[in-house]
Amino acid sequence: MIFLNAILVAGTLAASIPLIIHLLNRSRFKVVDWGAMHLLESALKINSRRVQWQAWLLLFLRMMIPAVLALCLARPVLTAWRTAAGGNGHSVVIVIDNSLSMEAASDEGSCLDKAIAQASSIVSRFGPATETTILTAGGGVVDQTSGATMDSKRAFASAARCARWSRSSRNR
Amino acid sequence: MLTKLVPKIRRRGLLVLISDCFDDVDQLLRALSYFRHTRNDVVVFQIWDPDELEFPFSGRTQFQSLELASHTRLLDSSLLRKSYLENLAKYRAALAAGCGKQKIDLISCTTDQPHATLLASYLAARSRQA
Repeated sequence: MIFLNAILVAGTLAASIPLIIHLLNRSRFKVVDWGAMHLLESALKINSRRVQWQAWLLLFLRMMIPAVLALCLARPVLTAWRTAAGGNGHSVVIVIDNSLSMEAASDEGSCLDKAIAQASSIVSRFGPATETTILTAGGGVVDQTSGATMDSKRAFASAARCARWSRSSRNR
Repeated sequence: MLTKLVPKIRRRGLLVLISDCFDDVDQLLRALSYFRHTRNDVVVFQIWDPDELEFPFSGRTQFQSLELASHTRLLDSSLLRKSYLENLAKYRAALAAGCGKQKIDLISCTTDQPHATLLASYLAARSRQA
């Protein structure tokens, strides 16, 4: 989790205010002369534990209110769910130039084939939690993965499709 | 103490008990039954403090016993109010039921009411019935 207004997390210290008020109030009480002590004792006997945990629960809730308010004002953002176990999440955007000039041949095949191989190598270098987007920028920018994908097999398939798309579209 | 009075009463009469009745209910009713068995009429004026009936306290309160100075209880009144009032209702119901069974009149009154006037009204009503 990250906080967009991290400095406001310090506001959780306000949770101590109800505790301080509670401790101060412990020393302040009203004294009442009472005749019906037996009624009070029997009520306490039945409910002593319940009265105690109710008092603790009330104090806890009073402390949580300013703490939760401070955390909300700090604008938390959950990022943990996007990270798979064993890897830090990355976002990778690969732009492949599939214009006509990339058809130039070399010893290892055309420049486009080399670019696709390098793109596949880049995809394989990152962990399973990587978001990959493959764009081709020959005649215009085309999103080959249809948005970011975390599926590496789909990313590889999209990279391979770049070559076929450029050749087949030129043969039409 | 009440049972010690029974042999001293030689003629049938009316026993008027003015008390808070803050004692064991069964013991009190047993003592009053001795008077009923000797064919005396009994009326109980139970005196309450209005605060004992309403329990209007909130926040931390120290209850100091009127009977024993060392007997005190410091607690949060608002958390205990509901149980206290339930207990009070049960106690009053038990006393009323016990008095009803023995045909003992039970009249509840508070400390801010003039007892003499209440007693006079009761006796007047009794005379009219007789």
